Amino acid sequence: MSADRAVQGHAAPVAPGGLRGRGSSHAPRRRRWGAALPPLASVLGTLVLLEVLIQTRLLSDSVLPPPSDIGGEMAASLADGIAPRLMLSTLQGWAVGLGAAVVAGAALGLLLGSLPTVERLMSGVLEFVRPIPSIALIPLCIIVLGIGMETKYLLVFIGSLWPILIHTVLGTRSVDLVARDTCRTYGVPLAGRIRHLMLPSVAPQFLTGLRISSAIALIVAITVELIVGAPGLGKQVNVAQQAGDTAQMWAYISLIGVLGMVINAVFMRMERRVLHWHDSQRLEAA
Amino acid sequence: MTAVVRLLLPVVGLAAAVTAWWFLSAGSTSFYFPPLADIAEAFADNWLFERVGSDLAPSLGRFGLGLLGAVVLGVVAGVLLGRAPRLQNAFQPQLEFLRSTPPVLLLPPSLLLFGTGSGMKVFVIALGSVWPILLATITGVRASDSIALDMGRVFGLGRTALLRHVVLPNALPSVVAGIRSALPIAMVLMVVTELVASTDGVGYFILQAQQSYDITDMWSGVLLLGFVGMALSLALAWIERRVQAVVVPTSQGGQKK
Repeated sequence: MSADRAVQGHAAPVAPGGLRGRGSSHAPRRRRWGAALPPLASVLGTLVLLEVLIQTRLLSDSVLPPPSDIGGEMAASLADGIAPRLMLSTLQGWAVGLGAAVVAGAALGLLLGSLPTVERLMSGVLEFVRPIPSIALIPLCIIVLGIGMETKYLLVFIGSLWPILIHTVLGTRSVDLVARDTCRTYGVPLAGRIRHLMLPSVAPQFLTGLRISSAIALIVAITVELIVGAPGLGKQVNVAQQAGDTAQMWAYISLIGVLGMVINAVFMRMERRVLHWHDSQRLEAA
Repeated sequence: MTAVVRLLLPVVGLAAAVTAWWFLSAGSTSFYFPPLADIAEAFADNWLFERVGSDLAPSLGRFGLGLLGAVVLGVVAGVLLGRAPRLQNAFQPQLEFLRSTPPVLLLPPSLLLFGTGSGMKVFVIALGSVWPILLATITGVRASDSIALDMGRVFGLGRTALLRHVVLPNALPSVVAGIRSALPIAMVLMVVTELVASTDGVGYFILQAQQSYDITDMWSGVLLLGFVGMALSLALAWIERRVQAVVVPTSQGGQKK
């Protein structure tokens, strides 16, 4: 069994640490703090090193100002309410586009996944359309939809549709055929079939697609803001760069990076929560 | 479904879609969605092969160089970090931050740093698409079979020999998978860098066509990106199959009974 082998392969290197942790009830907590120390030190070290190099002019400050300036600029833009407002604008484009992609991707994915012939029939078209970067449609969208939120919605939707669609198809196809026939033989009602047959197969793949799409949606939203000038954090990066305000430029880049990390963490967490029963998550936990 | 039908269905679907588009758009008077026949004509005019040298070649050149840079950088740094778990643990927050930051944000600082030339574009493509390769390499290297590693050590393999014969072959499938995820990012960055500051390239051509309201030309550029994207993804799928056929991961071969 491949699953068994995977579990064995995974468990072996982790076991010693896990055993050591069982000694006392306080040990795990202390260990966790100890583990957080090197990353913390390396982040602080990087920031301090940059600060010193730039303050002493060993590194030119023409593109990268000292981290303290960037931090100050971040605090200021958060305090005066401009950054939160722009962040809402970015998140609005992200949420609307991603939401539409979830609805369309899941519906279409379930359909294609349960009709293999149709799926084969469409695969040629999908393989052609999918690699076209949604960004390449920016010029078209500018003249049809303008440079406002609509362009952002549409491009985020197109960009984040594919991972959800493809993973939903994979999930739907992975429904256990024996279980499906068993359900049919025993006359399990539709609600039961959805709850016990479809959901356990589709949910893991769907959530993986959703996590990938959530990152792509942010990338596309920021790109549209940066290139087209649609309102949001990305536009501000461009504005700051053109004004030569490098501290503000890096402050907004950092804010977007933090936003990306938060979105990623939230979706990872959700995946783990919802799928705590699934093999993939149990392996990761081990 | 017989094998022949399986193979033919996608072709039939694509042909049907193109035919439908062709006839449905035939009488189109819409400014934005011209008849496919006109787009096809524009495509032949531009890309067979008048602008291949002037626009497609520079785009693909920068794309290739950038991706090559990403592969070299990602594999070298990935092997380094993968072989040094403590170092990787220490730099995890920075990696996480850089990976989560949308790669297009490299553009404004790079414009300040390098100006608008081809070097800037290659830099943005390389640094923007390096993360999936780097992370996949780390995963691949760390997943090296410990039995195979111990065996190599017992047989007296040195550091480089171990890397060459055990670690790298083991990590290769993972690296190729990383390159696969990097491909669309590199392609987006290729187009984006040409939309912002360029004098040639497919992205530049699409933008120029839009600004002169030559919508059929613009569509021909979008179609070209579809063809290029499909060709690249097919090429990589082929490489992936080759790699899987050649490299039997020792972690699986080693435990077979």
